[in-house]
Amino acid sequence: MAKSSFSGELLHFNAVRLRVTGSGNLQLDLHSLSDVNSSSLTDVVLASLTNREPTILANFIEQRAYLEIKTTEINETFVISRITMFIKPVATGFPQ
Amino acid sequence: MATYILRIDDNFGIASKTSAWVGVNSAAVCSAVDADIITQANRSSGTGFVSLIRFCDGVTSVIGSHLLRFQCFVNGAAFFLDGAGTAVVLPVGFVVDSVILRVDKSNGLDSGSYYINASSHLFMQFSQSIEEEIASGSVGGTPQASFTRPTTFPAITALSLLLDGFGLRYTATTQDVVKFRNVRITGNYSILSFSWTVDTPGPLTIGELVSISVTGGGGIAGIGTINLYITKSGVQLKKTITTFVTQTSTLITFLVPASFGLFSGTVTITAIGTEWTGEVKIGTFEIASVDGSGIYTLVKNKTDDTVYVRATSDTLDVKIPNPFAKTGFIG
Repeated sequence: MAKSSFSGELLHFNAVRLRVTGSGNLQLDLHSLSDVNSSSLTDVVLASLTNREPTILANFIEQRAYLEIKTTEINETFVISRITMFIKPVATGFPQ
Repeated sequence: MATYILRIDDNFGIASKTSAWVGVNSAAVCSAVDADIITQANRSSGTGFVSLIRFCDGVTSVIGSHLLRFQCFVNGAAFFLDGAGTAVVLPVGFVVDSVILRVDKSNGLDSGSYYINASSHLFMQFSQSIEEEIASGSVGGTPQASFTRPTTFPAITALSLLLDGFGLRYTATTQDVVKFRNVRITGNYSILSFSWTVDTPGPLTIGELVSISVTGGGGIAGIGTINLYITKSGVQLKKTITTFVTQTSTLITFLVPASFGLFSGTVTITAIGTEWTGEVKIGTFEIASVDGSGIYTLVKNKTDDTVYVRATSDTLDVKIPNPFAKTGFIG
């Protein structure tokens, strides 16, 4: 796991940018620790060739989160070569 | 207007008697059995009636509360539709439009007072919490009493009529008898017609979502149970689903159950309603997964799984179950 530059702050996960190709619809979800909370992002319509890296907006505030990427229909494929998460601290922590 | 009568007979009989004093108008049947009571309660002409307080020579009536309730036991064949002389199991889509409980207070051969004591009270009931007092008075003039089910309660269904039934309660403060016969529920009914489409004809595998939507008439919100039928080795198997992923006025979804085991083929979907009667066929979907065999081989750029169907030796391409990737925790 990469070393975190944060130490318990509440983070606003506000966008995800992907370099992705494939076919079908790519489904993106953000999940909190222990999957207590989650947020579904807008699907990405995949293409085998594209000159764009789509930025998908998010609105998810947690201390830590992970991104789940999946397809759910037959013959959908995806190849990802870069994921960029846009995060901003919005609070130092939960009330004590 | 389509009409029905729900009356007491072999299928719609006595559910409970909190009083042993139910009798008919003869000392010979003072200790009447249920069949005697049904005969008299169902009588619409001739001599005889039921009493909720003893009506026998030389026997003292009991002061207190007396309750007699009726409900359906056997197979639901208790509704007489459109004046027919035979009770039937209700047709699919049957809904109750109106409900009136009717009682003849006495018969023409008995001129005695029906309900003469102002401090005693006779009630007609649907469920035991929904009742209305029958006005006291002589039998002369208007011998029939009726009770229209209050509209402030949730809509009554044919099922609730069959299961909850109806009854009569008498709170006697004196030994005055109360006599009645020709007890029945009457009303109007309709046959609803729905049109639904299976949006996911398949082939599906275990755990995938089956989606059914309305194409006409609504009715999906009234589905209480979905049955799935398959035929496997010549035997019909049924799986009942009562927990749905989604249920709105226009859409219902559920997951393909695992309990069919190894099966490939057609699944027939039927629905049983909470607001209408009968089991309605909705449509079909295909399950294809599951009697596959073979060695899993990784093939570059292959975007589905191929299974070998034992029964036919054919191959079948199915979905790879939701391929996914997850990042580590960020933050």
